[in-house]
Amino acid sequence: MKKSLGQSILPYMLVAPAFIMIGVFLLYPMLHNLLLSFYDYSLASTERPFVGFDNYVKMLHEGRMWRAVSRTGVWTVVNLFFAIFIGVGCAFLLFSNFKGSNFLKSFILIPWILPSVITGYIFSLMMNEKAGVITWALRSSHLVDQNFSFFSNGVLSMVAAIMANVWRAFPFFTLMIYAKLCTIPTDQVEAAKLEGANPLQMFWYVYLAFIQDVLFSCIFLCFIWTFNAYDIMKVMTNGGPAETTTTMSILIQREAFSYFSLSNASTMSVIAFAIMLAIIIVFKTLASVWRRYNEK
Amino acid sequence: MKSNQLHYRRPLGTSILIYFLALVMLFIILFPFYWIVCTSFKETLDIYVIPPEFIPRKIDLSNYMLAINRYKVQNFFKNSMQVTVTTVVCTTLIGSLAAFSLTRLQFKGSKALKRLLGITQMFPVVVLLVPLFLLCTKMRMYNKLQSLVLPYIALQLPVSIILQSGYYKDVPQALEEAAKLDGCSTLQILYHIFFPIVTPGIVATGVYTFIQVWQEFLIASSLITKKVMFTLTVGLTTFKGDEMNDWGSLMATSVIIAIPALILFNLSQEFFINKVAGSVKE
Repeated sequence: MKKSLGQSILPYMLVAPAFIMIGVFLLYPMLHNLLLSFYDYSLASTERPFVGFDNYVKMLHEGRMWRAVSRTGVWTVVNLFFAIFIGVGCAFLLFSNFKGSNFLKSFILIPWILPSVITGYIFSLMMNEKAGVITWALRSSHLVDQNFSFFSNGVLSMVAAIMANVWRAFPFFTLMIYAKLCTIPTDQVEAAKLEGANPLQMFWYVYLAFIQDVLFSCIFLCFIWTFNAYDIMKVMTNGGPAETTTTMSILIQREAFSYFSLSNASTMSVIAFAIMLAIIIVFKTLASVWRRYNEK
Repeated sequence: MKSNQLHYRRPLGTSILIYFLALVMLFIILFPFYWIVCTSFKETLDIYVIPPEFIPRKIDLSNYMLAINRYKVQNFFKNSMQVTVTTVVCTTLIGSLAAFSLTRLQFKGSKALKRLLGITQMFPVVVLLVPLFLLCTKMRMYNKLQSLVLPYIALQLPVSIILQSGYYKDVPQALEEAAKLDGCSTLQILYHIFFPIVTPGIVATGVYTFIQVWQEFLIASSLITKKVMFTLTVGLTTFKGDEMNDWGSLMATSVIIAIPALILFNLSQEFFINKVAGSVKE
């Protein structure tokens, strides 16, 4: 049956609105950003000369950018570590199918539904120097001295922001891993049990092997979110005290909308994106090597 | 009880440990949320009482009155609603058409488009900020709500299409064939066969988009500088006194912001727990 012209262009007409929007407001800005990084672009002057790689050379010598990169690294690694650890742990906890696990399951997504700006504020309040309930609990149990304050130095501010972010991120792992665990074939579990696998072996060779693909996908998504996270850090520390918690997202946003040096912001964001892509490529390669190694 | 779950009998110690951990987990998940609600009912001085009052002495609504009278939360609420509802409706409809076409019609380039959707998931919003700002000034949308809606639609479309594709894929081929034999055109098939079946999925996807857009902060705080145009999340940052945050009103507003998302989520919880979790398979 030959398709009429209308039939053959219909599929394109149906996808057109979506991809035009994506093209204009996602792909074009992406390319435009790359282009901007080769110009000396500032809102203050009308002259915007082409400067080649000058912006990049300038940024590579910029200490505050490299400090922000390393902070973003610490932020991402620590966040991911705890989110995975707690998230997967809770997934197995739910999977142990105790009475009331359904009840618990219905609350698990609350941290994820709550807007991240609010998460930032409630954790700021709970860790507040004067009114914070967490600060109070730590002080009155004498784990810390009486002048203890989370937002007085960089390390503790980072810890505070990471706690808030882990609280927000771990349910995602729990839900994804739990959903996958529920589909594990009974015969696999039974077979391993018959062969006399101990709980640790069961965990490692049966359950972990079964969930590894989902786990990799979750880590991948969560890595992208955490690397680019902005809201919680902005609300809780605003990069302070004394720039000690300024991550790339905070730095770029401030460069663009407080200092209006757009080409600096563009260059930094290209560099941040490149770093992110490089890590993703390494991660994907490692994941596929790991998979092939396990199949043998 | 599902047969594939761990259901061998446990020693008592393990059971106690499991319940203990479950309680800790429940506490950690719920306490911050409880604390928001609790603080929103406290008078300013009571917030600073040491040791903290874990149950408010009385339900004091003055923070809510303050949020409305002084900070004009209703204004932010209206902006947020306008932005979010427009975005959700446009994204879901446009996304639905694209999802149908990508899953049910064969055409050249559909694979490339699907791959493109996957790639866009990696785009950090912060990279888009400067170009979007320039684009908005060029299109004379600066400080208007359209400058948020249009980028939001583009940002939400890929996920919306991916989620909806799952529903379109599940519709049995036989129904489509039967309609074709009856002489329905493709658009008629979409309208009469597919839409009624996938409506729950479309609605659930819309809820997902709503929750994402409702809480967006980075773009909203960068592209809007006029206070009357602020959305709720940006409006929250204005709750500052001279020295400290006005915690009571801030928490009252947080409750107001959280309620729509929680209600919608509650209505479509099954979807989130089964479908969103199922869609990340790869």
